[in-house]
Amino acid sequence: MKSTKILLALAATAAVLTLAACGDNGASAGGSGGDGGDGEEVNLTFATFSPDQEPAIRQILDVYEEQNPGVTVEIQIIPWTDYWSTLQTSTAGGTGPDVAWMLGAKIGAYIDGGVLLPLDDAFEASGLDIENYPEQLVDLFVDDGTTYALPKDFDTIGLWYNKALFDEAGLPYPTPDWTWDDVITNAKALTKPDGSVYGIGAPMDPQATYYNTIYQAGGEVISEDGTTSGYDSPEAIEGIKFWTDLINVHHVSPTLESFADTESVAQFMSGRLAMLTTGSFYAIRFANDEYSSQNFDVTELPAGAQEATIINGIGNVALASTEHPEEAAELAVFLSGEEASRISSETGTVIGSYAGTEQAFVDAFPQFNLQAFLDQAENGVVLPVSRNTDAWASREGEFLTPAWTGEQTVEEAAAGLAAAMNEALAQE
Amino acid sequence: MRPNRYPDNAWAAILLAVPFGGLVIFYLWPLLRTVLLSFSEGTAFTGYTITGFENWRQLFENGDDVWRALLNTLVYAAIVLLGVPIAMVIAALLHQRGLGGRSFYRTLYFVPVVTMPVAVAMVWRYIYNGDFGLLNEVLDAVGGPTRAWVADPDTALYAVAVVGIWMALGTNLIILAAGLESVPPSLEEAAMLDGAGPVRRFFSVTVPLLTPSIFLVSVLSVIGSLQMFDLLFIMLGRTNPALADSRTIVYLFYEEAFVRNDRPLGAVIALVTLVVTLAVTAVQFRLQRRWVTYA
Repeated sequence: MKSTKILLALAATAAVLTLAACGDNGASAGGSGGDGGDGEEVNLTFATFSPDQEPAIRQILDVYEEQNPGVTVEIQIIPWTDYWSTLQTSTAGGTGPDVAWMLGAKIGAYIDGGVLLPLDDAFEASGLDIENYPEQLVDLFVDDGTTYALPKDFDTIGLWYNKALFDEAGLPYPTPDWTWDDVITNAKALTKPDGSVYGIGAPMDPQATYYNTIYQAGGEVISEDGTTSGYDSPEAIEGIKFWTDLINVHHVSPTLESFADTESVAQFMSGRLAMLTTGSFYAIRFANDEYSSQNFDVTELPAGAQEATIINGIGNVALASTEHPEEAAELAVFLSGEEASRISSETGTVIGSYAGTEQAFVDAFPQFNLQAFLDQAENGVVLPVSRNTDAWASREGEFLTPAWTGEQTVEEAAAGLAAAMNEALAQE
Repeated sequence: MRPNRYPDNAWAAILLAVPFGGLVIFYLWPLLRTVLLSFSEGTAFTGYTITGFENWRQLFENGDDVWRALLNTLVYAAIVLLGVPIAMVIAALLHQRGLGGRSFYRTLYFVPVVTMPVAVAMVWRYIYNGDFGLLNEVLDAVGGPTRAWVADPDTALYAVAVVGIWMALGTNLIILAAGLESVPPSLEEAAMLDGAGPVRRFFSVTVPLLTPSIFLVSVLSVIGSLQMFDLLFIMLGRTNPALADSRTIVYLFYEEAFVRNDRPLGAVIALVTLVVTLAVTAVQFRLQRRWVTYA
């Protein structure tokens, strides 16, 4: 009798204590073997979050391995939802990858932490010309004159549409000179009363939806010096209101609940949405899907008070914890170099960042008018970032949700978000 | 005869040192570090320095999120606890003498336990889908109310709790079934001779003898529920409008520590969770004196 109680108590204690062990997981074994001496085998690990891009990356790495005998690179795909926590914990713990993907929104903490290798020397040695990269994107990865990454690609947002649904409704396809009023008028005509087809998707997706319209309305997400929030300006509110009105006023988009159940891209690909604003990075997924490949096309984003599209790019960094700093830096540069850029474009995977390789992307999938993504790059606004972007970007959803569901006005939601964002920015 | 060089309790100490070492390295040391972290500031790269009570002050002055998440978690735990009587009834039915295919049924109920939680969550996500979900199809056919079950703040937590009950059923069942096996048939037979019917026998003989197992199952169920994360993470997703009203304490811990990278605040939340779990478990142990019978 006594012993049963003790056993129960022990079992309960053990179960309670598992909590405390929560903090230290996630560090997947990466790292590199070998001692890196001359002529020895060098094994590098390269971390990415995109299974879509794996084939192109493997192709690029094959070229690299061929040019650098004795070096082998292993790809480690970490799903997007775990990527940043895994990269951070494993890097801090010294078991991280040698080379990894990086975003402008994330790099601040890594630079501050001193865990990245400067790539200046390796870039110098590569013979690549910095003038050939989109300047705004290069700036994302440069701090105090030191380059920590180079953009390997860039993406812009366009207006994708389903030709079959436009044909069915007897409407002409969207053109580059459309305004948002055209979108609303056409979306109304495309929406079917039984809910089987909606004119457009209005998910709460900063990069693909409301950031674009905020800048088009003449607003900003963050001030140019990166110290204050722009969310409480009338322009920003107008930019957000465009999307919430599509759901709550015009009823031409499924609700936020619906997008939580089935993500917008999946709804678009199943023919439930006639239009969706999203990035060039989805071209490869649409091309690989029979229905989407036959029916989809893309044009430039409609204009608000002015033209704007969010432009973003992924960079490759070399982690300071690597056992082979020289090779890692060289690989990071190579992965963002001309050859890599060309392969990325030719396979239609993403738009290569190196000047002269973009055309190959346009040609990769002739069924889509991918030129639209390049044409609007000149109006590109770099995805807004600060030193610690996550501190405020992770709260956007929380504050804007009531505006999307119609429980709050956009003004109220934006004011709350601006206050929280300013508080986070003050701590940087 | 050679004298025993080590007295018995020395042997015991040596052998116990092994699991005790594991406990220290994997539980107590991280626990201590978590406590220290909760009083620190810094980032994963720059390291953490102890600065004082700032994080705890933040919890008590500005901790609405935490209390809300705690409440959600307790509601979830209370609902999943309903799985225990359900498991008891099923265990009793499966225990009936002369039941054919008993192991088949047991396997059936145990399948969710050996299925990956992520896979379970994905399938239930489809079932609950507001536009194309199976549940809405069925409800629609019989004229019931349809909605976006896991995207609606009014239902999301309950919808997830139902899956929690279903997933825990197998484990609960196995423990309770083992408890039933150990009830001596002679007691049931004696009750039968005294004229007790099956229902009376169940409540007056079986249940009292089963109380230690019921207690264990309840304690484990509550502790497991207080740490709920995976189902919510997969079934709701990050842009779900129901998230604010359904977020559990461990989910909040994840957001603070790994999305916003505020590990010290994460440590505070983890410790709050630990204290609450200890408190709830202590209450359960105190209450057991009133209803658990140790034969």
